[in-house]
Amino acid sequence: MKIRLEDLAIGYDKPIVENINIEFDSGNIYGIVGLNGCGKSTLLRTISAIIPALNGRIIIDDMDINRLSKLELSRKMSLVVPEYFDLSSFTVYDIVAFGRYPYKNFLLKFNHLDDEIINNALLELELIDLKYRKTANISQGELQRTLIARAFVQQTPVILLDEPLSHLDPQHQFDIMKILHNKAKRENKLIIIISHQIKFLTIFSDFIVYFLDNTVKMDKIERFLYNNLYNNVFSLNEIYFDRYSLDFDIFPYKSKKKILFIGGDNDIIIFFRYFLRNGYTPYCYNIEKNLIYYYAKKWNILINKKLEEINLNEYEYIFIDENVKSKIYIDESEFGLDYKNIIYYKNFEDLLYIDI
Amino acid sequence: MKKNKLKIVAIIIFSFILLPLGLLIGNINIPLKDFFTEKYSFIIWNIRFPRTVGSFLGGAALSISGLILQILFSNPLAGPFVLGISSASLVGAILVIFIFTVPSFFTLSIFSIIFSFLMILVVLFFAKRLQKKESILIIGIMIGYFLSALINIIIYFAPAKEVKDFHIWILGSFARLPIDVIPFYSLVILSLLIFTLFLIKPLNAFQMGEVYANVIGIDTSKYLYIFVLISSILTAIVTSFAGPIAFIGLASPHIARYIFDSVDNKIIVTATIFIGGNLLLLCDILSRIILPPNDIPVGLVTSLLGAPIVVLLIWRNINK
Repeated sequence: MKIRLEDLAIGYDKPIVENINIEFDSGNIYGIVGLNGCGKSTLLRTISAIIPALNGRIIIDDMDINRLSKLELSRKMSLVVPEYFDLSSFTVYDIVAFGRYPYKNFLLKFNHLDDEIINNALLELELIDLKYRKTANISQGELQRTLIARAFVQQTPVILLDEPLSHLDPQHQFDIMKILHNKAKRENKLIIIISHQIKFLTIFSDFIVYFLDNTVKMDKIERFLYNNLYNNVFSLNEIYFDRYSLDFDIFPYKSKKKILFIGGDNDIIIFFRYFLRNGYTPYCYNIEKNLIYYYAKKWNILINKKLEEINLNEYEYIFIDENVKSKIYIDESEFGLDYKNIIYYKNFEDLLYIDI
Repeated sequence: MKKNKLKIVAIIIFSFILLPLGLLIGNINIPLKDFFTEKYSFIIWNIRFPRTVGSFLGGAALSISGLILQILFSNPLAGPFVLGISSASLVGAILVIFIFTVPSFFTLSIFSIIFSFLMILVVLFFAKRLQKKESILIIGIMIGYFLSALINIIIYFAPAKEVKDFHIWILGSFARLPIDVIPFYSLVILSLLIFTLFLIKPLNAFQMGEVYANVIGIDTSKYLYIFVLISSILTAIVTSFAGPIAFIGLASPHIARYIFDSVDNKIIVTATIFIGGNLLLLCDILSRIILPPNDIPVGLVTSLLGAPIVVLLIWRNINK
């Protein structure tokens, strides 16, 4: 199964994004990333023919989707959207059973095979104990999994998911992605996922589809990371994305106000963001090596100077570990007369009560 | 599941008890042994029969209309009158009362039907253009208000006699339903009710929202059109012959959902048909005997009975 987007323009009244030319192939997971409102959901809804394409074509296995009936389409493609509708009066089973509708006539007679398919999906997503529970009485995460189970019982070669990981705790996010990965690889399904969980996309998806410069591009996830495109896609400002740890952090060194730690140990990293959010950039002085370090993911060497050579006036606060107090000499007269911000601390507990 | 089947059977049996009662009970006491004799046959077959069948089918029609609209608009407050159909039929009725001063039942109904169907065309026009159910709901209600204002303007300038005639019409009653219209009336309602039974799949799907209905292969824009059409015709046919009957269409789907505790319309549609029919027939029988020898309009009984029932259901549901 292949889905090809040809010169596609998406949007509601006027196009949000135009000239999309992408091909999706089965057996792969595609992750879609982009800013809020960039058109990720619109793209997914256009592909699944819920809203019409403004221009261009969507070809599924050499067939234009406009030439397929809703019923034919429902046997090829399934969609999971975030819960937007009041489903509280349904049981888990009711919702999952909807997935069998494309194969049922107006009598809606469910047979043994349907029940087996539904039960398998419930087992796969660990919902079997909740089968007859009303969705009003289950958690958001369980509801999310119910909606995914519904898509599974539809048994389509293509599964599209809009933010399937929202409302889930990390372990369940991982579990869902792993199940989707297995679906794609073992059952040769084509899976497209919108998610902000770049970490899980990196672990499990093969390709990344990203919204950049008014168009949509696709690349191998590794090249996407290598080229540091994440920072561009999200026009990150003040925070940055680290391609190795796959995580975000605040950009340090925006603030001119500095803090110096003398001695101490790595525990002060825990306070790193405390100082940053209060407008200070922390540095650390290692007395053995005569080095000033700054922190970005790990301690990095900034300058190689003896303590005596450092202009301590640059720092608004100086924190000194009482354990190393005896090993250093600080000429307090070096500071201005009104400079009182030298703070001694003994251990981690003392740092907890810092108030700057 | 088994329990629900038993309940359905119970409700259907109840209908079979209630329908003969509709022929038996009334102002004139008919002894059971004289039921099949010539003596009372005119009263039974020409007066009570149309009224009994009319109210039973009318109740079913209004209830299914209400159920469809509640599902379509995903709004528990939707009823047969939200599309402005009944207001349009009332405009037809009041114009006839004004023009003919002493209109026959037929002219009244025909004008009501014509106006209702004009309104259906208006609603369908908006349904096709807007494709957005919320807008259809708002436009229906707004047109309803507009037409009500129109009616009030006519009433303001009308002589007292016409106003009273119109007011009696507005209360809604099956007592005036002649036997001649029963075949047409029943045929339209029964065929639409049976047609609704074939639409259980899209009705169920709409309950999950339009996006998911689309995903599982339901052409929602097509069915939006069909649902609006069915529920408008059902409402139009009842209000044109009997005047507006309040509450039945709104209350029966809620009663059905309360009794059956299911979201599957396979059960709910069947239940709503019989509950609606039974309820309106029961109200009609009550209206004959509540204040003897007066035969009060059934529309008064439905409001008096229907409002407390709905409140009770909501109360019990909260404290469940």
